[in-house]
Order: sequence, then C-alpha cells, then structure tokens
Amino acid sequence: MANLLLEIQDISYRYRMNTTPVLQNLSMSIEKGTVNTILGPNGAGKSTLLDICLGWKEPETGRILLNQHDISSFSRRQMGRWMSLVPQDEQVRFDYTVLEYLLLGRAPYLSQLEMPGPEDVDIARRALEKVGLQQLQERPASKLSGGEHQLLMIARALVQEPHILVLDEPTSRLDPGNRQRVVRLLKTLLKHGVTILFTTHDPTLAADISTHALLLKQGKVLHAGPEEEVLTSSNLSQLYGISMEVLRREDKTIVFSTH
Amino acid sequence: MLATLRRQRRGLVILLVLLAVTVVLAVLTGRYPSPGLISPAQLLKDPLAQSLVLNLRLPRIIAALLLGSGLAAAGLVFQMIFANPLVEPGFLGVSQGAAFGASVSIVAFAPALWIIQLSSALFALIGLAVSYIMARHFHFGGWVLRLILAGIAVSALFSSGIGIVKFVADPMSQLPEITFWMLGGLWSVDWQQTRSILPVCIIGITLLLGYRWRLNLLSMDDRTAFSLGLAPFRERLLLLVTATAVTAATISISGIVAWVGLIVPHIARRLFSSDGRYALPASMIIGAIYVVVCDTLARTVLDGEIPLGVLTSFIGAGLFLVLLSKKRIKKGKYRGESTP
Repeated sequence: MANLLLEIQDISYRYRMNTTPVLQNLSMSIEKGTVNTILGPNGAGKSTLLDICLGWKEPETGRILLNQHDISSFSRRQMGRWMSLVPQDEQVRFDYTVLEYLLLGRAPYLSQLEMPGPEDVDIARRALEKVGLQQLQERPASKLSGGEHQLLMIARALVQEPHILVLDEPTSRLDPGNRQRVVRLLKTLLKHGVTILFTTHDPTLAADISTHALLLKQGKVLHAGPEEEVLTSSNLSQLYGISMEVLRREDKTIVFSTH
Repeated sequence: MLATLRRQRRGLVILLVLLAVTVVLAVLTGRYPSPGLISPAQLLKDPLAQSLVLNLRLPRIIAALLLGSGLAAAGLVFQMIFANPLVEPGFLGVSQGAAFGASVSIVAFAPALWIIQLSSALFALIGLAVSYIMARHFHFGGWVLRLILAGIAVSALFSSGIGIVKFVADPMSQLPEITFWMLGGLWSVDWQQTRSILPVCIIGITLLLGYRWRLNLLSMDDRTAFSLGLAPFRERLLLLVTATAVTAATISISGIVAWVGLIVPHIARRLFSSDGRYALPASMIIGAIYVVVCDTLARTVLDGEIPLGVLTSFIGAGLFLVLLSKKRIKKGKYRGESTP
C-alpha cells in the first residue's frame, strides 16, 4: 500500500452539536498519480469533505492519514507543500499583479519573515507558462476574465508544488471553451504525476478525466472505486434521483439525463 | 518583474529623500526669531534658537515621525488583515478607548501627562481586547464581520463613557483639556515623552515591516490563507495586537489624530502597488511626511497652536474625497462593488 497518499478513515462531521452530521462514518483513499472525483447533489457534503482533507475542518471522529502519518503531525507549512487548494471562487481584494498573486503560492517554502526571491519568481513564471497565461504577468489579477482567473488560481496552486492538487468545482463557472482548457490542463498534470482530488456537478467531466470516483449522498458514500465501475447509469440515477444515462465510446464518455 | 522591482525601490528612495528634506525644513521652521524659516547660519549664531530646536522642535518632530509612520503602518496592516480598504487603526474600539482613558485620567487624577498617556494606552488595548472577546462570543456572520461589529459597539460604549466623563468634568479646567486631547496635538511633547514611546514604536514597526510580504497572504480569505500553509487566525492576531500597540503608544502622547491611518495607505497603494512589500514602507514614509508637514503648519501658521487632528482631518478628508471620485475606485477597484 505504499502508493496510498491520503486515507480518510471513518470520519464524521457536524457543524453544530445536536444537528444531523454532514458526513457520517466516511472512508476514502487516494492513490498516488490518480485523479479522484467526488460527485454528489447539493448539500451532500462534498466541500466539507475537501475541507477535512485539507485539515481546515476537524472531524468529530475518525482520522486522516497523509503519506501514512496522521495529519495532525504535519506543520502548517508542511501541509501547504503537500496539498494545495483551488477554491471554487476567490475575490482578489487588492490590485495585485498576476505575478504578485502567483508568488503567494511560495508561502509554504518561506519562513515567516522571508520574502520570495528570484528562484520563486522563476517557479511562478513556469506555472504561468503551464496554464498559458505568460503574457499577462504584469496585469492586475482582478482584471482577468472568469476563465483566466480560474487558470490563475490553478497556477497558484501549482506554484505550491503540491503532491495533491485539490480543486473545488473547477469548471462550474466556465464557458465550454475555458472548460476545455481546464480539462486539458488537468490531463497534462496527471501525465506529470500530480495526484488530483476534485468535486464537480458534471458527471461527464468526471468520466472524462478521473481514474477514480466517489459518489456522496447525504453525507455517506454511495459508491466508490475505479471510475468505470462507479460511473454507471444506475449508480448516477440513484445518486441524483433522476434517470441518468452513461454512454461510453472508445475514448469518450457522455452522461446525460433522460428526463 | 525586475524592472518593476527597480522602479518601486527607486520610488522608495525618492520618498526617503523627500522625508529628509521635510525634516530639515521642519527643524528650521518656527515662530522664532520671526515666523517662517531660520537660516542655518543664523541658527549656529543664536544660542536661544539652538536651545529651542534641541529641546522643543526636535523631540516634537521625532514624535511626529513616529506618529505618522506608526499610524500609517497600522492603517495599512488593518486594511490588509480585514481585506477592507476603509478600515483604520482607530477601529475595534482603539481610538475611543484611548480617548476614554485620557478623559477619565484628566478628571479623576491631577492631569499629570504621564498618567494621561498611560491611561489612554491602557484603555486603547482594553478596547481591542473587549472587541476581540465580544467578537468570539457573537453567533453571527464571519469572523471579520463579527470583529467589525464588536468594534463599532465597543467604540459606542466608550463614546458614551466619554460623554458621562465630560458631563461631570469641571467646565473651566478639565473640560477644555479633554476637548484639546481629543482634537489631537503634539504641543506638549518633550524628550521624555518621545523616549517613552520609542521602544514600542521601534519594535512594533520592525515586526510589521518583517511581515510586509505575508500581509498579502493575510488579505486572502481564511480558507485560502490556510491552504497556503498559514495559521491565519494566529498570524492576524499577532499583527493586530502589534499594530494596536503602536497606535496606542503614539496616540497616548498626541491625542486623537484622525485620517492618517485611513488616507495614507490609499495614497501609498496608488503610488506604488497593493503588494505589502512596497505599500507598507511607502505608507510609513508618506505618513511621516504628512504628519511632520501638518504639525509644522500647526505650530507655525497662527500665533496660537492649531490642533494637529483638525489639520490632518481637514487635509485628509479633502484628499479622500478627491481620491474616491477618481475613476479607478469609482469603478470598483476593490472587490467589484458597483456604484448606483
């Protein structure tokens, strides 16, 4: 099991005492070099699960192992090097340039009073090239379009040079063209050995890029495992409560609702 | 990037030169022997002028430097930590706490300066502590909103406290003193007072400067800052307490000097960049220039002293109106807010 990067063991979580748990006795494991999707209806606990993986929320019960060590044994900076997050949405509050914004991703490698140096700038530039925004480095980050901003957030997460890249609904606000750019980028990252964990409401996207999938309903795992075993018409119909059809062609899978 | 870096550094050097010139001119400006500038040659010949400069003007100018740079630094730090460009160091009950502390000590004790200073600094910190504790107990909204609401409520409580103190104060002696303290000014500052705030200011400002890049990270939302490997809650608290301590120390000798902490960071961001690496030092230097100029005007223009707080507010609010009516902010430079 040396390939296991992240293991969630029997966790439960609730927002306030005496309320129904958002997640109940949930277990999940993520292997190195895989793309893992969490699918589920609104309110199923997808984002909460991501927050627990990141250590941002502490589960009531159970434990989380990162590289076979309990995540409580990692310092904040170590965690920042292991995992990076691409949030669903993020407002850039002050007028940072694209490059200044990207440099923030170097924080886990710098001590509290240290500033990013020329090497950090090089790493940030390379990440910008990877997402194809190199011509924008002096532009104010707040002036980018929605698609460019999504790519910028992914680039910042790459600047962290993480083992696991966590994305919260990475394509939910994108037009088809930008969605395709993000999909291509994620596929390239997978080829370079980055492990990816993401949530989505788009089963076609999940089938397109993931190797493993987890279906989450009302805080419990409905099905989990390799993508082609989990993303079936009957499983997805059960997940969303409507009739869903999965069509698989050689290298393309399309999921649609038959209502 | 390197070109930008060089440009920003050159800008900071120009500002420093400007500050040095301002300080020299401030040293030479006064109402002795006649209102206006005294020439260096004349100063060397006149022992009374030398004594005036050494014992009165110099401590006051150094206090103005500390006050300006301290308030501007604290203002920028507050604005970045709260990700809100309209926040200033008087926030979270700090200014009103200091004013309450000063007025209580004026009424309750013989108005020895050091008691007023100590009491205002103490109550400024109490203002922060109470705001912070209240915010932790609120069951409403996010952390930043809770802190802001708690700060407003605590400030209002201190304000009503000041009202009561004013009501019982002796209208002939104590009331004018409270009023003068609240208008702000450096007329009573001597070497001893300047020395008394020096350690807090130097340690505080050095720490804030050390964190100038990390401030950018802390201006992100909590979850993002956390995912970047920070302990945002702990680090924000450290900077909040440091910025408040610097504010409390400086206003303890000056009284309320408004608008410096609000307007100067805006100007610094405009001239340089939003990146704390440049915005913080720029803010400090511009703050120092601003207060030294205002204080020199305050002690020179009229026969009597003009309260410094009145000047900083008047000029600051004017500048603020001009800045706000400029295009970039109007169109929602900060967080895409729209204007009707």
